[in-house]
Amino acid sequence: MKPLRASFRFLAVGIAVLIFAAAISFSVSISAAEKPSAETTAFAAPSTGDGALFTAFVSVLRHPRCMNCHSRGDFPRQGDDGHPHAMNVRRGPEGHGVTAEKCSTCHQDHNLGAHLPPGAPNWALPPPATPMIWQGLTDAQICRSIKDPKQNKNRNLDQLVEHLTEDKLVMWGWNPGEGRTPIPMPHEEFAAKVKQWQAAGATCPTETGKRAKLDVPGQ
Amino acid sequence: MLSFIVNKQRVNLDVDPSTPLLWVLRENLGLTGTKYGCGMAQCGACTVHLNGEAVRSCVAPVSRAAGKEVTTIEGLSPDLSHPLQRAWIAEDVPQCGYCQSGQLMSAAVLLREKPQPTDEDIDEAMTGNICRCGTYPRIRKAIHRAAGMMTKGEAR
Repeated sequence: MKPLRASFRFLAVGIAVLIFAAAISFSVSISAAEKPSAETTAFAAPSTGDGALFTAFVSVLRHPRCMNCHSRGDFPRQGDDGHPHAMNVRRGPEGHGVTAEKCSTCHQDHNLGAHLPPGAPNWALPPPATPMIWQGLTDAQICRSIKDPKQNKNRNLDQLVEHLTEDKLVMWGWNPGEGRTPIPMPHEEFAAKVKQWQAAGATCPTETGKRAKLDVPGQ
Repeated sequence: MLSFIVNKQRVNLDVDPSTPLLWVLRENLGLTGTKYGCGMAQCGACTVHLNGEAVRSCVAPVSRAAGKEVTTIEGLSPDLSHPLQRAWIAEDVPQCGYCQSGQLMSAAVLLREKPQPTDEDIDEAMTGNICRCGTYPRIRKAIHRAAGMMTKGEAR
């Protein structure tokens, strides 16, 4: 009887070891599945559902460096508080200002330094036919408007992503010159998030998204 | 070497391309009708035309003028015959006069694009041109007078 009891004991210990090893292995594989790959870790959005990939970068679109030209009214705005542009500057028939007060009257294709007009190539507002106003819109509404060719100067998704990530006027937001707050999210991170959103189908959030912060009374 | 046209004359200049156009006009070419006001595109005293468009020459690097046409107050007309110049004289617009060349150059762009400007058009075109003497009512009157001259065929 003794040898038989010993072999049962051996078998029981062996099964216990196997169960323990399997449990550890299963736990490790779950952790690996949950953890994003090294490639996506840096800019990963919290979730890919419900337009989350869009809301991951919409803060950039709401930043004053972008919103000052994407706000209500036929005029540009200035500063982090979005006050109307000095000198009664207007949008004009093509988004370049009017008569003797066009954007290029003062703005160059580059920044000039402290207390001087900022500049970038093609300094302008969106044209009046497609003013691309985001002020007061929810995340979902902003998302739909930038994707809509009737509102976005007939850009397809590739052209929209190119505008967002490569247009020199847009990229000025990260290098606005002395005395202006640059967009805080690094450009590389923003561009990666935009492309991640595009690759996942450019889904928009539902209507419950937050509204733009830049709401100037009476404008 | 930068080459461009100033008041219908070609000029070739060996200057630093980042030099403000105003400096070149005044210092290199002796065209002192265009004034230095604020030096930061805030007052309009330095306004000239670059390919017909109003430009604040105090902040525009001269490189921007390369291959283009610059018109200063001296080139608005050869003999003070531009309707705006005649209207300015008729309405006795200037007080100290310092800002007036810039005012005239802006007004000239306005009338080219809107030959019959409303008061609102004038406000939109001229708000960037500041006058410490406060001659704004006379500026507005003179612009309307010049527009009237142009309608009657008195334009040059």
